[in-house]
Amino acid sequence: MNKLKLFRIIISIIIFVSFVLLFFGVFPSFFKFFAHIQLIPALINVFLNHTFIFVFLILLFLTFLFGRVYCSTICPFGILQDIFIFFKYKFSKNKFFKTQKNYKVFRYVFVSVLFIFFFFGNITFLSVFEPYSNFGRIINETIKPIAYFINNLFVLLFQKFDLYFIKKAETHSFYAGSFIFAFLVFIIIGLLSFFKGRFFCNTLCPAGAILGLISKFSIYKIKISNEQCVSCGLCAGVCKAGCIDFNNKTIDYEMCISCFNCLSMCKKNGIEYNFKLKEDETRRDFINKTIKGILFFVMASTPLKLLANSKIIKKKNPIVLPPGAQSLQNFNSKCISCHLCVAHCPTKVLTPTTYEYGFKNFLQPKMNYMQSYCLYDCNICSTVCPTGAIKPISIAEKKLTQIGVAKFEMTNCVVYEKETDCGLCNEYCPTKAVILKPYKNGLGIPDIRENICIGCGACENVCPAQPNKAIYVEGNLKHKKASLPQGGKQKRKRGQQINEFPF
Amino acid sequence: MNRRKFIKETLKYGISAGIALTGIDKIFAASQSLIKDVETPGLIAIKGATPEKMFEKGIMAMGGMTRFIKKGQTVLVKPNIGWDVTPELAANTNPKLVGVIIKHCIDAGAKKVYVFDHTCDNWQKTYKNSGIEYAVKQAGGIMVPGNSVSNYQKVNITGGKILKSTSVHELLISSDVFINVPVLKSHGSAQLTIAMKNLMGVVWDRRFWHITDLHQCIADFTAFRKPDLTIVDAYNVMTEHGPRGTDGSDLVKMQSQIISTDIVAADAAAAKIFGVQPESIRHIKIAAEKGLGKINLDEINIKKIYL
Repeated sequence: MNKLKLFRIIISIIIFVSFVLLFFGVFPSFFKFFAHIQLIPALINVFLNHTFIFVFLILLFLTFLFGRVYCSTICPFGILQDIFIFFKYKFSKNKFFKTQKNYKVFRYVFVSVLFIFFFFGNITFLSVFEPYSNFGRIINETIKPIAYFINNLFVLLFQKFDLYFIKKAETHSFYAGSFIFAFLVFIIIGLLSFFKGRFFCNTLCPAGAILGLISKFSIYKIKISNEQCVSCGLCAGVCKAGCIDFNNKTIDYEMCISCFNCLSMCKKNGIEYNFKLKEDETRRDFINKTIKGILFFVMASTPLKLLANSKIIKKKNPIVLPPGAQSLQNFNSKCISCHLCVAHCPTKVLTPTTYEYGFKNFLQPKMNYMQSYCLYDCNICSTVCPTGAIKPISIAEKKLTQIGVAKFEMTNCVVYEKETDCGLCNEYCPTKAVILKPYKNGLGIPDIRENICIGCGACENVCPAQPNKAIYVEGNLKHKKASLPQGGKQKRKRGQQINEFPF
Repeated sequence: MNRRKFIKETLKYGISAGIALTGIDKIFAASQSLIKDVETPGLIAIKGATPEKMFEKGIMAMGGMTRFIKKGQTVLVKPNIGWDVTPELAANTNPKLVGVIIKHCIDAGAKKVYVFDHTCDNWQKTYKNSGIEYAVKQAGGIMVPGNSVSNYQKVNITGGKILKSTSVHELLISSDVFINVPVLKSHGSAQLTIAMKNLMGVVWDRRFWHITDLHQCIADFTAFRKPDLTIVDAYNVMTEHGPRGTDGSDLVKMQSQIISTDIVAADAAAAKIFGVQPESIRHIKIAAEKGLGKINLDEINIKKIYL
């Protein structure tokens, strides 16, 4: 096997395994690195957060040097397709791919439309076709439940022998909308890659389109040499991108993903990957081209940046956003629905939506207080988010970030209705924003000190009132700062230190 | 077969099978320890040292752990592991106390010592952050998850006024010895949470308790399986804003501990330490009226130890 191909396969296996581990919740502080070097998250960081510009530039520069190695080794969705393609090479009767047409016009118009929507504040179309988040949803919504089910069978088995070293895994509950979507994408991409190779990457993928534009001009390229090539067509047959036209001995560099399959297939050294100028090209031409290319990016990015600052139309929204999301505007414009936060949330309070944010923000997660509540000492979602939809926030900051405010509806309350002790909301409240104020017959009824409430939803989640909760959180469209909890500042009435036992 | 006959039959066969299995000499040893029961105090109150040290002294005065555990028995130790907070905040039982209890159980010949709680917050984080998981493993106990409904079995509560049946963790049913290790705290709805309230952590559906009559349910459930031993951790006591607490500013260092075979008396004594009359806590009062234990501490043999 060609060394380059071997190298590509090793790196892509490492990256793929890391991604799977990441979505299974292993070492987020380490593996999240791989989510942050994805092209579309990097692009969102550049245009909407104005951070991590170097990641984006490095990815572009990498492509400029070596072609679309991003697509063949770094993109998890690409590697997922390669797995299906591997099965085709191994088991299919018809092992060869056909040379594909480059649907240039369609491709660039389509991707432009995605980006136009994106820069006008609608991220839905981008996240539906963006490769990384599709991979995330497939793992999180389809693969993970199956793996967890198998794990839990083992848990049951081992428990019989008093072995508790494997833990029961809990996935979030079933959400039909996001499951169906992820499952459909999984099936479609499986079939598509099996029969048409990297068709998706060269027609629909926004990352592929951006990198395709650059790889046209890249320094290292695959080239067919006129002398050695016997036009046998083997290279074109193994090319999953379908970019080799062996009759004319040309390669469509927009489509080539630098997988190096052709190199290891060719027996005649008729195809090579190196740094060579075209025969009729002088060094001056080459430098000129490079400068032009860089200037083109500068020109292209300026108007895009202006578009990025356009505002979303705000409307009143009952949805609660996780701490770090800062505002509905920030969250909605940056979240590509990769569900990495959903995968890592220890209480599973972050759940995928289908269309709750409106069609504009398909599948973006929200805080689901029917399901669970946000732990006081936790900021995991903010540390893993690759696009800054949930910005990094320290635990100390999080404890004072008011993502919503609890409201009390007395007529639903158990204490009011049945005149019996309940107080679950007060019990779970981490800041004691919910206190029990004296009510009749020595009972206590909830009362809310809104200034110290952080909207974690514990009270709403545990409230046993049926069918409607007596206490619920109204989301803050823009997160606020809460006041410090007033623990021991109150005058103590009971529980004094004693010297002798009073009995 | 009616219920009474069923219980009689099972008991008969259970006892004869037990004799066959354990041998007469062990039964004899057990009856000896019963005789000792009369002489040893029913409640020990200790004050003035670390939780581990107080326990060491207290259990010695109680006649040692061997009084409660026979060789080869399985033990369930049930601390309060409700909240995802660190040990300094005293919202959970002191992990070092749990550790030393497990050591004593193992030294007494326990085959296995299980520890679990049906936590309020996320169980994995709570087990870890409370320090109890670590302490249990260090001491040689087995930390068991309490978060899975499949481990809970439906049982009937005899004599329950409101709580007639509920689902309890299978270890509560299968373990030979049951040791309850609550922490003394203020509580929003139950006023105080001590030993009886701590038993809520072995049932699955607590919501029902809250929407019907919390105090009655707590007292009803106590009758299901009274712990063989109750150890109340009153070292750092959360005097306000319980059971979760806030930043630790409500804690009072009382340096006390109660060890008792009578769960109601343990609650009554702990309430008095807290500065509350036991009769004013409804579930303690109901439990005493049901005859589950003594609320009047004069009726019980108490030994006080000041260290």
